[in-house]
Amino acid sequence: MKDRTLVCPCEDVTTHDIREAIDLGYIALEPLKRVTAVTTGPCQGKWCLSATIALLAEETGQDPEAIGGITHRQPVRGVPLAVLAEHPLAHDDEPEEEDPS
Amino acid sequence: MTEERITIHWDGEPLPARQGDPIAVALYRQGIKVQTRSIKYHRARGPQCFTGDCPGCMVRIDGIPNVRGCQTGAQDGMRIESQIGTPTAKNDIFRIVDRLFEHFDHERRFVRPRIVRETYQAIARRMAGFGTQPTDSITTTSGEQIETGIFIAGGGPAGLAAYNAVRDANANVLIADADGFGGQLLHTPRSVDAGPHGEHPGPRLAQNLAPPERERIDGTVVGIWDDIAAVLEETPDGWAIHTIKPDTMIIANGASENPAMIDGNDRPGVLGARAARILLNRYRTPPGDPLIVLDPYREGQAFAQEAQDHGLTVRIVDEAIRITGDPAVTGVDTPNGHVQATAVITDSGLTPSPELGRQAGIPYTYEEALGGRTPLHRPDGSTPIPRVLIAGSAAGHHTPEAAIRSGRWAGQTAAGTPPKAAAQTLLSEGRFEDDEEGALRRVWRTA
Repeated sequence: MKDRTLVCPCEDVTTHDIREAIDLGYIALEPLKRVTAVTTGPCQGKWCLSATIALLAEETGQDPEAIGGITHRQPVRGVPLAVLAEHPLAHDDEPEEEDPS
Repeated sequence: MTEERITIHWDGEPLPARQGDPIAVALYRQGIKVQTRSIKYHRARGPQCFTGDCPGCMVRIDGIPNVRGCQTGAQDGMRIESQIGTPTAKNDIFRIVDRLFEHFDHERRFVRPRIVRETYQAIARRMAGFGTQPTDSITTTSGEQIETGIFIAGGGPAGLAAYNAVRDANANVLIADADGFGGQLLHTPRSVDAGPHGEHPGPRLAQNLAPPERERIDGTVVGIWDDIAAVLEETPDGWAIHTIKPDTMIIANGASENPAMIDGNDRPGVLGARAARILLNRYRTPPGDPLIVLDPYREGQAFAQEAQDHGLTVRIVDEAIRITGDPAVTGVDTPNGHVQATAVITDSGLTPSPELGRQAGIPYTYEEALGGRTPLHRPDGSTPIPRVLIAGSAAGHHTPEAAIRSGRWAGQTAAGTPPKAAAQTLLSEGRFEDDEEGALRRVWRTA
């Protein structure tokens, strides 16, 4: 195995990838996320978000407070679609069955 | 812990396991550290967190892909397969990708001419991705829509303390946790001073504070939408999503561990310090022997002591150049030469889990001493969002003592009996470091 420093093991994003993206001008978190795929894997940033913010702050001299965070959308853990489909609220928008009589 | 022996099957090979141990733990105990491959370079990977926060344990179980082995109990006869790797994670022919490509920029390479792009995409689609289509289906059942007075998301020390404070005030309460209720108490063997709940070893304290069945859901809070929380639970009838509509919500969903930024930090056998404590203390499985603990802070120091108490050889390394091994860890290169080990424990601290807090609308600020992004809150657990409170590690109170106290205050506040001298007690009994104390005061002032 090659020596690599992984920031995001889900998407195989290395410190090299982050630095390269920063050199290309992606110095805000959301664009950096879109161009490198950091924080977008199955763990949704749980493992890598803090490391990404720290690296971005170190490389660009930005205040971490100003870097902010990412949007954390639901669900925060993997949920099988079949389970979601079972919930009563999933059927709220369905039209009432018409009475044939 | 039950010691009932069962048999599981890993890529076709029968292995002994203990009933109920997570699959990732059962495999690790059998020396199987390579449990999957990475999506792009096909690097060998294994579990690194044991809390469902990393991708190292995702496997295929009985025909269902993308199951987290560290959050799924082993059952007799389970057929577990590595889901990335051809034919298996261990013998993956695509591991050559890691050697061939220094850096693999999938955004800008192989784009032109069109024939190259199309050929590349056809190959890449076969190699990349997490798992393949399921060949079996899971059992599902309709969830419940529940209204309650106070809902507590998370059953670690803070959630459990909040639950007991709400119970004392006789308010209507429900608490959710998918990992056995206890959180970090379950891997803290030392005596924890829990104030009015006495002083007990962590697991015993978790037992004493545990909620009865009628007031708990053994499930994970997977999201908050305005004033509704969704909980994913595996019920005896199948998987279900419940929606909870409480008057007041207490968020106590803990913290995530951070990776150490060093070459080779993804090699199987590299574990976060909390992960190592979970493996050793909760599941009685030594992560390795001899062990290296890299630049330990609070969790790393606790682990080093506990590992020595178990008779393991612990080597503390403060300055490392790279973690070595192919595929699994063999040691660490330092400026003074190579240090050998079968597991490397890193300690880059804990960061408050921001998902539920942000979904509930709580503003976050940056405090390095508390682990980075930290929710604005006050000593009594209240936040700038009405009827949303936050406590424990999720609020940057990372020690069990601090988590218990902040949970208790949040429970009392939610139940309408606000605590007195919350800040003083938290700071004097919470075992905070000086920089954490300063950071907390700033957070409280801003809120």
